[in-house]
Amino acid sequence: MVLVLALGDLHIPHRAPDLPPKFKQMLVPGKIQHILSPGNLCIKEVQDYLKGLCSDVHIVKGEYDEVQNYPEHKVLTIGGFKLGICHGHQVVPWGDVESLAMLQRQLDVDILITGHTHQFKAYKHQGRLMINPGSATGAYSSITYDVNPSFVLMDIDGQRVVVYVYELVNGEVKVDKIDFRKPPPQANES
Amino acid sequence: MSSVEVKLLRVDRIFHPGELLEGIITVRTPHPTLPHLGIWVKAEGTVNLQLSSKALGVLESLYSNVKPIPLLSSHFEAAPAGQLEGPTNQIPFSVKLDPAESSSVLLETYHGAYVSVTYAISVEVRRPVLKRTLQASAEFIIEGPRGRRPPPDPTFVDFALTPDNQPEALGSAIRAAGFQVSGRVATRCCLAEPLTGELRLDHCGTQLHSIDLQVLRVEAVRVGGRMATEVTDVQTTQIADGAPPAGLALPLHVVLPRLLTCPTLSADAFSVAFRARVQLTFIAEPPRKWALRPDAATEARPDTVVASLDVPLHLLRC
Amino acid sequence: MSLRMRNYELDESRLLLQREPCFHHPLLPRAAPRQEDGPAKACATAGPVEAGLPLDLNAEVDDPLRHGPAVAVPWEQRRERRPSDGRRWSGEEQERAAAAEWEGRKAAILQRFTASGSIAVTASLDVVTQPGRARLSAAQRLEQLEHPQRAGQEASRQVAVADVVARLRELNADLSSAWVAAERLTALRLAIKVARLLLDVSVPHFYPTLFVLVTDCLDTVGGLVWTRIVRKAEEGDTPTGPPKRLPAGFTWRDVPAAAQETCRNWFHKVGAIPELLPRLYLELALLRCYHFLEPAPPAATLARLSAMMRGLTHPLAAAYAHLYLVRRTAAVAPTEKAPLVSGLRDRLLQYRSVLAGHHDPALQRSALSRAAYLQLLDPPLEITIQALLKDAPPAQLPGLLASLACLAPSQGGPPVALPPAAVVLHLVAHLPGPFVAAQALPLTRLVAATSDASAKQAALFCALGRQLAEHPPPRDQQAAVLNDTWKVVARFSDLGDYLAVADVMLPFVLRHFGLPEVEVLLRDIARHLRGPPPPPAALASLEHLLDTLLAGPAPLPHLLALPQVGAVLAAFDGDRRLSASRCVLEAAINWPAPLTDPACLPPLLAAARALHDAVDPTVPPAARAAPARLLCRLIPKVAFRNDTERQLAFLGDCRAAFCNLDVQGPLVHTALRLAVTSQRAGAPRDLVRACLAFCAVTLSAVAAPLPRLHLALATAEVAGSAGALAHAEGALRAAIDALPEVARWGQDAATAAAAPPPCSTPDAALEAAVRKLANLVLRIPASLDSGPLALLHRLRAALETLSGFSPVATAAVLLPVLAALAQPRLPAPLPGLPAPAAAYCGEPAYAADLASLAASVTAAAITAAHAGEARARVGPPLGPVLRLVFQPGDDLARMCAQL
Repeated sequence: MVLVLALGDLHIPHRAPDLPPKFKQMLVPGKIQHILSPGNLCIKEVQDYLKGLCSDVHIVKGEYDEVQNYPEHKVLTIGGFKLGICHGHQVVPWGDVESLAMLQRQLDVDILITGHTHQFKAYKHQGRLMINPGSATGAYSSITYDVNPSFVLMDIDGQRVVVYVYELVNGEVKVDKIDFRKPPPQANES
Repeated sequence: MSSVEVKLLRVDRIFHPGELLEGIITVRTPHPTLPHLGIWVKAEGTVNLQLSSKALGVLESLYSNVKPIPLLSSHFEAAPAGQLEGPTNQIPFSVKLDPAESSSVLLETYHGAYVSVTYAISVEVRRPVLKRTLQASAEFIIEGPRGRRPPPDPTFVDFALTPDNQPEALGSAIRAAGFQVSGRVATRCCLAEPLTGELRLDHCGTQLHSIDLQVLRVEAVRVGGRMATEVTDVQTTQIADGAPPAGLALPLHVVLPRLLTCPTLSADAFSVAFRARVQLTFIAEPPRKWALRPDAATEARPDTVVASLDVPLHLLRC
Repeated sequence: MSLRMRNYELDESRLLLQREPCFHHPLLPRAAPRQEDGPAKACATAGPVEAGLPLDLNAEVDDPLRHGPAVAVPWEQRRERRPSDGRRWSGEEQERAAAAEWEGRKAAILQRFTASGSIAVTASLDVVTQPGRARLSAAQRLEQLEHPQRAGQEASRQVAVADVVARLRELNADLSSAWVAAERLTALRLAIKVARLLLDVSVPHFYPTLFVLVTDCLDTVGGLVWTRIVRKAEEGDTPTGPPKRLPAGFTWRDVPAAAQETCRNWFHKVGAIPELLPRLYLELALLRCYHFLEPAPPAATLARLSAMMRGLTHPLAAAYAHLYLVRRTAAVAPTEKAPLVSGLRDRLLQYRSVLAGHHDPALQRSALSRAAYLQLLDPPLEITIQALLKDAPPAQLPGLLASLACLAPSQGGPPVALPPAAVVLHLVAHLPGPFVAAQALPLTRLVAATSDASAKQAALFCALGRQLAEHPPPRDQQAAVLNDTWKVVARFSDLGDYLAVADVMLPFVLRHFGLPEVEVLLRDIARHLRGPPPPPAALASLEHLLDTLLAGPAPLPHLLALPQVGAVLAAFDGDRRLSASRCVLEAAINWPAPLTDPACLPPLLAAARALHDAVDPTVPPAARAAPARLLCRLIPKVAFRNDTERQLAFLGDCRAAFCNLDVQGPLVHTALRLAVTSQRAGAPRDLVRACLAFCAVTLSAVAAPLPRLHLALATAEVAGSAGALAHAEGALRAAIDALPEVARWGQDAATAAAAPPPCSTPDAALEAAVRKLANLVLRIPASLDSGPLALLHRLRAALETLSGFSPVATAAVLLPVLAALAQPRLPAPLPGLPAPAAAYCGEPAYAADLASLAASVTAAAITAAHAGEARARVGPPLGPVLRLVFQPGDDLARMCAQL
């Protein structure tokens, strides 16, 4: 049982001053084991904040990130899952499921985490997951101005993952979940 | 070479009258056997008196011999004549500490200047002709029975030192500047307890070097028809190293030194009494302040003038 | 081969996973109300609610630090808590605690009065310090101490302090070894000699050090005697008998008469010391041994010893002797306060006489100022007062203060003779906070009335202020306390003193008063600053004050809007001005909300300008980072509500004012945010365009090409969304034309500083940027006169010139764009714009153009692929791209098979 936080596209301070207070209250140190971020935190202070929540933080490069030494994409294994992170401004066209699926195959991961569109999305494609945690600050994006702040927490337990979606809707935190089980290998190949 | 040693079982060697003194005689010899003509033990106590040359003059003190006064005399055979096996023999013995017939009481051990009371146990291993007698001795201490008397009521005697009760020798300057030290001291006191009281500087016009409390002994020895009396210093205790704030009471707390003090006693041939002396030491000239108070060991002491007042003490064993 | 038709929305909805509402999740706060337990249980069993559980147990760990101020355990109770394992008397604990406390103070004293160099020592001290004799036996040392002349010493000579210290430490070791060698009487006599060293007050500034060293020795002796008597008690009358251990927590009744006799003997020996001072020290050293003789802690003895110290007429000697009494009291009878009080009162008599100058002539001879001498007397005073107040029952405090003439016993009238300022200082600093709070008014008046050379009045107010900030007085007295304080403080002639108090009182004012009072205080401070420039120490206080003010609870924008803050800032110069500026900017940056009030800008801009002006072109890049960061953070922080023009003007001012630093990025981003917000708020289009124009101008000044490219893309993005298509197209054109420069810069950067492998390389960053650019080209339609695919052609042309960009990568970028352009609906269309394919519907030229472009890009890519040219770095391999873009069929299959 491992808790993996996925959040990105904070755009602090250019597009948003800070995380919503309600999110900050929930994100307390010591609960989360890994943080995966598809980038665009923008300033280093945000990275420091995430490192304060949990020591294992993985960030990939968004186009506005001040910190220069993030990779373009990153792959790691947690529990029974191989996870890949990529910001998503490189996907043509932005947010297209087939292009994302192509990226997922290219990285060969069970769960692909991307950002950039600032809209929470979770797709299942050929037995694999693609998740966009949205923008944790509700910053406007290349595509839309109307953004609800959101992030994702994955509870990975062996071959199973429960994806919790935290979305701030009209000032209230709305939590949804998606239960996903990794199909057995033979099913995966078909 | 053979030797003898005597050891008392009580480590502190303090005994009370009427008690049983127990000890062990240890005889060591390099020979297989040690023949002897008896092992004798002697317990003795005496008052030794000395005459002061000051009180009597040199000649008189030389010629007027004062005999020691026996207090305890016990002589007995601890082992009859026979042979001791080598290399080490231990012979226990015991003596009842009762006064000799002539005197009625065992006085407390006291080491004074002209009067002293001492007790000793000595052992003799008598040996056949041409062999040296083996001897050993050990001192022991007699202390009056404790706890027999309730502690005396603290009867305090008030005192005041002023120029008026000082001899002329004090000097006119100090006299004119004036001073007064007053206080009180408990004059009946237990030997085991400290001498108590308090003292206060009321005012003082001259610079004070120190305030001390001295314990003095007054020893008198009968010679011919009169008593030769001598006062000597037993112990000096500093109460203040200068002038304390006026009006503040300073406690007097003097621990009476062992052996150097004893219950006040008065006998036919001698007497021992004690006094407390409050002593003010003034710095005469030139006036010096504390920062320059020179170290006693290296610099000459400043010229000092002393004023003092005696209070008789009555020391008790209780 | 034709482009595959797609329905992006349908594709997405097919794969979309459904979310179900959930009420229990891992981030649920633990303090959830109990009533939720029932229905939630079932869900919780499988869910990760428990995941949080073990982590959250932390909250219930009994952490001693978390409880408020420790409740003082009364002495009686404490004595009951005897350690079960410790065989020795419980006094051991106190003894150890007192020793540990002393260790700290000792170090402080030694540090405070570091006597270095050499001192003129008199013979008694000198003997101890004889160099050269490596190891002398205790007896030899004693011999020397007793007969200094025989040792052939001069009356007084210069000796290095370090030597004295080393020899005394050696002596301490000698004491122990003499003891072990059963030369116990020798050791005692040696200890007496060592104590006698304290009679020598001829080198006052060395006295505290000497005290520490000598009492170390005495403590050693005290411990040795204690152990000796314990052993004696356990061995019994005869050394041959079997030892009988003293029970844990033994009392005098458990001690055999013989051991008690031994103990009395020690006291007899000590009692026979003629001089008062060493006698006192030795008896104090053996104080603990009264436990063998008496049932209770030796309270009467302490009282007597305290009174006997009245006989010590030298202030320094008396003060330190009393300090030893305080120390020993803490070790054997910590609740016994009466001897300390009476002792303190006696010492104060002497203290006052020093203060009154009665000792000045003597001090002059020692070449010591009165102030320096008072400093020497300070540690005993402070430690005594601290010991007095430690665990003192609150009910006794008023009596205690009354006895020191600090508070009138009844509340009527001020006390007659005020205590020395140093006493008040230590009292105020160490009194329990709640008591200070309750007595704040009388204490304030006391402090206000106290003024002498023993302590600065400012220090007194500071001590009081520190207490009051933590422990506020009752509401109805707060104003009176502040007024009484300020009546005195406002008249301080020394600006440093004034600012020190202001600095300390500020937290009190901030926490317990409103903004108006803070403003009044600031106004007063500003008034004081109007004079000549403050000295450095005062500036340090002022800087701290500024820090406190900005970090305090007062709302920052409000504070910044006060003109006094500007005045405070203006008081600094040089490096202090920079650090004060930094402090102001940090505070503004950390302020959780945007700064919306134009009135708070002047101090911020002044601070920013100070930092900016300190950076000239000669400053190395590393040193620019910190000020640049502050400015970059400040710019987005400023957001005037609904006043776009003013905000834009602010950005313009910043651009002009801060040209030495790289602040264009935040300027562009902020202007873009401004454009977005004002567009959403329905602002006139001109205003939005003005923002975009500002961006276009500003970003052209960015030095680094890749960030400039991204800024241009960001501008294009917003312009497109805002319907300013001409701006968008212009920005995109500029971006495309800048690509060769970016590539060159990337290569330079790559050779200059190659980042480690996992990081993005310049080539990869370029490719990622191109892919973003392609997305924008897809999204933003070109103007009619240049043709629908003009931007795309331009992009392709630009890519072909880039050496680091292979035709494979070009295809991976362009083919999905071409495919999307062929669809009747774009994946994420701009609102109100039809897809180009729909707009040019029926225009065969458009379709043909798309097809030919697709064909030529594909052909180039395949050729390159066959030639073994590198695949894309960021984008996908060619095969999947082709399969994604083209209609499935034999041609495609053959082509892919060849790859």
